[in-house]
Amino acid sequence: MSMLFNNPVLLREMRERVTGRRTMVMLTLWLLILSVTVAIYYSSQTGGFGLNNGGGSPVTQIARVGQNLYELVLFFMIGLVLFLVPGFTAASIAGERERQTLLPLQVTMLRPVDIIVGKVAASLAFTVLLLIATLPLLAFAFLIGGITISEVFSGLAMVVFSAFTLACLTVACSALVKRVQGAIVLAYGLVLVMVVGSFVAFGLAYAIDQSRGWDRPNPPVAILAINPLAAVADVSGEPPTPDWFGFNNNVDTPLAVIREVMRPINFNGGFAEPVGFDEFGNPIFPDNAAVESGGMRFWMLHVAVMSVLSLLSLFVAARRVRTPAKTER
Amino acid sequence: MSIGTEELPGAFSEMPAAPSRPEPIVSVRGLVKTYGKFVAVNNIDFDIPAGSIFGLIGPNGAGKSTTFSVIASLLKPTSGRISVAGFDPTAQPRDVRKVLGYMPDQLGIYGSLTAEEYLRFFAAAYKLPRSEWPDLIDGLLELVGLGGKRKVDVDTMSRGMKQRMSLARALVHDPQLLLLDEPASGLDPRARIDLRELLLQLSEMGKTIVISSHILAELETVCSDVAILEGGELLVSGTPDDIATRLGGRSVAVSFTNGETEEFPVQNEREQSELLRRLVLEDEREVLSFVPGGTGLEDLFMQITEGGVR
Repeated sequence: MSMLFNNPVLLREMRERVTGRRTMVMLTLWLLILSVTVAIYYSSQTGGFGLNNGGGSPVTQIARVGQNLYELVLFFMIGLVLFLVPGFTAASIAGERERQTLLPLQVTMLRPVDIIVGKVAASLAFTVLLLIATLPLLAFAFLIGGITISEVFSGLAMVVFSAFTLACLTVACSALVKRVQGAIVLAYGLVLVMVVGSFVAFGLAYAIDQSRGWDRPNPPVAILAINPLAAVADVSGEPPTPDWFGFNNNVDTPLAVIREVMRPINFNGGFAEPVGFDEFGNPIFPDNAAVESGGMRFWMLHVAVMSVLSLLSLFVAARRVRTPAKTER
Repeated sequence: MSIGTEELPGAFSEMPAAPSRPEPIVSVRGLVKTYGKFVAVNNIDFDIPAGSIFGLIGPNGAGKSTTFSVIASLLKPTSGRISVAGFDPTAQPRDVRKVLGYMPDQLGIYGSLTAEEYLRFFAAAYKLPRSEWPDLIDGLLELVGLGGKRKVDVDTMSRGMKQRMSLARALVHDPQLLLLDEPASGLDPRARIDLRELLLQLSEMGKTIVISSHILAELETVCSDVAILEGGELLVSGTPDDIATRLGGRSVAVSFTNGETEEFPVQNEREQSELLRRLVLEDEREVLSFVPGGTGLEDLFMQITEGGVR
């Protein structure tokens, strides 16, 4: 842990980033935007005092508002992570190189891993600060109901995990590219591939399955395994339980839409086979654990794949700043 | 009566022998560094005596910075053996970094920190005990003449002050050896003089200082030893006197009150001083001026790069 808490690179970056006026402005703006969004959504769903959120009993309706608010806040949080972390981290090593401050660091007693860990932790520190500042809004959603405390923490944990993995991947971009501008382009390009590219590839694979005349297109899960948005969507709610005809009625948050898109993974082609019937004659659909990846929930696959990729990225980044080197970097 | 320099060697035989050279703190043997087909440094050998102020001289692209980077354990040599205080920079980089302070040609300053914060950062990076930091920082800022600038943002300092901050950074862990790559580039004349005095002060403290520069005048008054590089090749190394001797000596232009002017070849500074003594005491003519010529690094460099010595 001393690599973290006594890390001069981290402490210096924290001093620069967190004590600046810019931090206060960003924090205020972030909370303002999110609070206003939550307030508008809440009031549109509850209509002031009366609920207007679809049918069902008032308890079911308010629970749905709670669940949706929770998902909305999580969506903003992962959006913040996807937007901020690459920008912060991509400039870290390339920035030192551009300012000519990397050489003096490399001849100190700091090991390459100290420099990389310091940089990753520094970019995460500010993002985590923003995420922590969002906790009251998550607590508000929890108080409304419809979600459990473990759901709140698992959603938050997945967002923080995504921030960590993105920081690891983009610090490698920063170490590989000499100029800050190039590193930023590479980092955001990578995020685009992970988030949008993987969905596009998933859609293409789905279309290919359909073009083969398959009744149940079943593109491989691995295509989405690098997608942090898909992982947050998966962890934040149960996979959509479709009716007999494969339709899902509760897709009123962005994360629910993503879960709907991912349905072929969770229900083997989007259509659930009832495994039995309850006492009222309603169909019982398979548990979401029964997915094609061997009983593993999608987010678990994501965590496994991204953990490996993150460690690899840290290794590559550390190698790039290690000296003596064969060439000047 | 006039005297010729052919009489000088006899007088030299009675003078005490020159002191023996100290052990080298840096030893470079057969250093080669290539980037693809480009040869940046080609099979160079030289020693840097402990306690010396050593000038690595050469035009831009001569291979000075590459040589520095290899000594500073930043670059792996393509071939060759380097020893820094007994350590191999490739195999034992951390041991080398304990004894070496490096100031690259670019300042590499974190502008957002104050002078004190900047040095604290590097004290932490060198893993020095926290209890030592206050005294260390006080001492370093005083040494580099920035005692009153402790709370000043480094960003707002002049280039000369930043250069001194950079030097203080290289001194944080009290290294035996200082590598200063083009330390005077971009400095005004006053700042250059200050820097030179500071280097002499550091030398008196027992530090070995290695300076690279392509501006010979700035090294002339401080360097006890030099190595001249050009196109990645080492042309010559040694004390300026040794080099002058190998070039066939230097000359002194003497003019007399009777209007005569004569040029005397001398081998080194001792011969030069003996010549002056004999001219004053034994020559019938009265010396009006005594101007050593061709003794400076610039003259040596010009002679060497014209192909005089290899």
